[in-house]
Formats: sequence, structure tokens, C-alpha cells
Amino acid sequence: MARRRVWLWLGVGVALCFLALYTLVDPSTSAWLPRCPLLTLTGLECPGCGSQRAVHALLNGDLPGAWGFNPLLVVMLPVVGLMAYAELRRERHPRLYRAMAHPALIFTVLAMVVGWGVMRNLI
Amino acid sequence: MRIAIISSGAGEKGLSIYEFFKEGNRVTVDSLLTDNPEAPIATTMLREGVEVVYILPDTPADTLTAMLKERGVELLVVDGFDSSLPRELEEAYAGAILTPTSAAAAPLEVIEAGKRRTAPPAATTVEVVEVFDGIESEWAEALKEDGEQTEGTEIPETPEASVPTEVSEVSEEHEESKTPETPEASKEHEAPQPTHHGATPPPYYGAGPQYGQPTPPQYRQPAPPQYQQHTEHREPMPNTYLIWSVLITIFCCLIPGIVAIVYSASVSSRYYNGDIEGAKRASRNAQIWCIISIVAGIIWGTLYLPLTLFMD
Repeated sequence: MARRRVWLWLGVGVALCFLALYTLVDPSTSAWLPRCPLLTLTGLECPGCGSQRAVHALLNGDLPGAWGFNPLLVVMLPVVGLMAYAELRRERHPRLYRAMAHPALIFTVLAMVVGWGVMRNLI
Repeated sequence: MRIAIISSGAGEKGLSIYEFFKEGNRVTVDSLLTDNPEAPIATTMLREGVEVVYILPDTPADTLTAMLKERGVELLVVDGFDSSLPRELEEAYAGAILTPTSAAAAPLEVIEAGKRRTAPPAATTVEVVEVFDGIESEWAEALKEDGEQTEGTEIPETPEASVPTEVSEVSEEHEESKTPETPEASKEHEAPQPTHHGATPPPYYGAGPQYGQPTPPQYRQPAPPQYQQHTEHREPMPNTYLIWSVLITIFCCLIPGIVAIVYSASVSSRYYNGDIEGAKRASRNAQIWCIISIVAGIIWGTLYLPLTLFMD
């Protein structure tokens, strides 16, 4: 149990480093931040396309801009945040954890991700 | 066993007993009887929350005796009492009044007095061994069930089942307290000490098998909350890695990320269908695909710059 939590907190630490990076660097103009492989190679937009730019916009306070780059991200971030909280506080809020780990929720998330990926290329 | 301490002064032996048995529930100091309101032991006991009863010269002995009996006090420990005990009290507790020899020996003498209180005629060694053989297997089963976190199993609360708890506790507490000088103490120290509470009961060293008191087995740990939550399953749900899968899919690599999410969903649905093994496998697969997608993302990131330069 302790090991899993270590990994989780480690992930949080790494995420914080990335946040600092993305606040300062604008992915649109910088060559250092890689673009989506699918986009570069095929021109198709994967569900995550624009997520780097969206994150940059969010970190600089630009919510509409973030929504423009990748709406899915803007929706998923609070959801993932809630899931992470449920995971970390698993013992204290077992019902919440159960809800967050419920197969229905997970399949919904999957459907959203895939659906968005397909949709954004058709529109 | 509930005891009462009777003291007029510092009551060092009484305090020694109180401190010794404070953490457990095998011996409880029910109350302190004193004829001296200024007694240091009275101050201490009040602070600890133990009932202090002031015995005045005109306190009716029968009321006192009745009170103690009603509270379930079985042993009186007299430690420096200036007045004389009421005759009625002495008669009511004949054979159950202990005057400890020293502060260090006092707790053990209480234990001995407790055993003498209800000990049947001395059992033979064979009986003792048989009793413990039975207990050992009960314990082994109970510990195994603890490990599996099965709901609904109760340790049989027979008097015999309580004995190993007593013995292992006694041996453990010997390790913690100072070595007393009494002959009983050295005999008890020869008994092999359990390495941790709840391990196999040590071979017994002496008197009768009956302590006469059904102590609830104390080695059983309360079930951790997450196990109580999933009452219909034996184990908690394996990690879904869902958070990782989603973030990785969005930020990093689409295709392996999708695979990871699918496995995460599979963990959950299999678990709730009761397929624990399948859920574990799916969890492992989710983890593997998360790692694959991270690695792929890193490779892509490393190759990106040269690739773009090459392509342009």
C-alpha cells in the first residue's frame, strides 16, 4: 500500500515540474516542446492535440483559450483531480473511491476520449 | 480482573501495579481506597481518572464491602495503609488481600494472586500440553483467517483460548519491565518469549491452565477500513491506474494510452464481477501499457527535434 502512494506522490512531484515548464514556455512558438506524433506524421488530430498549448493557456489564466485548444483537457482535469484525491484518500473515503473506480465511470471516460478524438477530425 | 489499591501514602507498590497493567485490560485498577486525602497516590490516581474512595473512621464497613463487590473488585492490594482494614472487608476478601513485598515484584504478585484465586487443583503436565496443542491449531487457523481478511469468522472465546494470550502477554511484559527478583519471575523468564503479539503460543511453564476469566483474544487486529468496505470481496480492488492512463493518453501517446485505459476499465469491471485474478492481471496490463506509452512518448520527444530538422 505504501508503495502505491509513493508512486502517486512522485507523479505529483513530476507533474509540478512540468507545470513550471509549461507556464514559462509557449508550445506554439517553441521548438523544444514536441508536437503530437499523430499530427506531425499524418495530420490527424489525436484527442490530446493542443493539450500542451491548452495547459500553457490555463497556467497563464486563459480559460477560453485553453478551451479552444483542447476542450477535453479542460473537462478531464477536474475529473482526474477528483480521481487522484479519491485514490490518495482511499481509506478515509472508501465510497468515493468506489465511485471513482466504478467501471461505468471508466468506460464513460474512455468513450469521451475516443469519441472526442474521432469527432474533432470530422468537424 | 479488577483490583482495588488501599494506601495511605505514596503507594509506590500500588503505582507500580497501575503502571504495569495500564495498557492492557487484563488487570484493571478499579479504585483507590485511602484514609488520607493528601496521599500522593490519591493525587496521582485522581489525575489518571481512577476512582478514589476516601475511607473515614465512620465509614460503614458493609457499605464499603458491598460497593467493592458490586464494582467487581476481586483482589485488594494493601500498600502502606495506616489504619486497620475493617473486619468485614477482611472477611469478605479473605485470601484475596495482597500485601506486595516490593514495587518491582508487586505486578507479578498480583498475577500470582489472580491465578491462585481461581486455580483448580494443579493440572498434570499432560493436560497442559494437550490444551496447548488444541489452542495452537486454533490460533494457526485464526491467524490464517486474519491474513485472508475473511469476514464473519469469530475466534472461539473459550477460557482455554484466552490462556495463550495471557501467557504471551505476561512473557512480553517481562521483556518490557525490570527483572524482578522473585523466584517466580526467574522461572517465567525461562519461558521462550514470543517475537510478536499473536505469534505461536509459548510452551507453558507452570501452574493451572485456567485463569478463570474469558478474556477476549487480544491479538486480533481490527479490520482496516478498506476491507470493511468491500464486504462481498476478499481483497481490495487492485490499482486501476486509471488516472495515469487518462493523463498519458491525453498528453502523451494516444494509442498505447487508449489500451491502458481499456485495461483500467477492465480491472474495475472484472473486480465487481468477482474475478479477482482477472482484475489483478488487468491491473498489471494497465501498468505495463502505461509504461509503454510513457516510453514511446519519451522516444518521440527525443526524436522530434532531429526529425523536424530532417523533414524541413
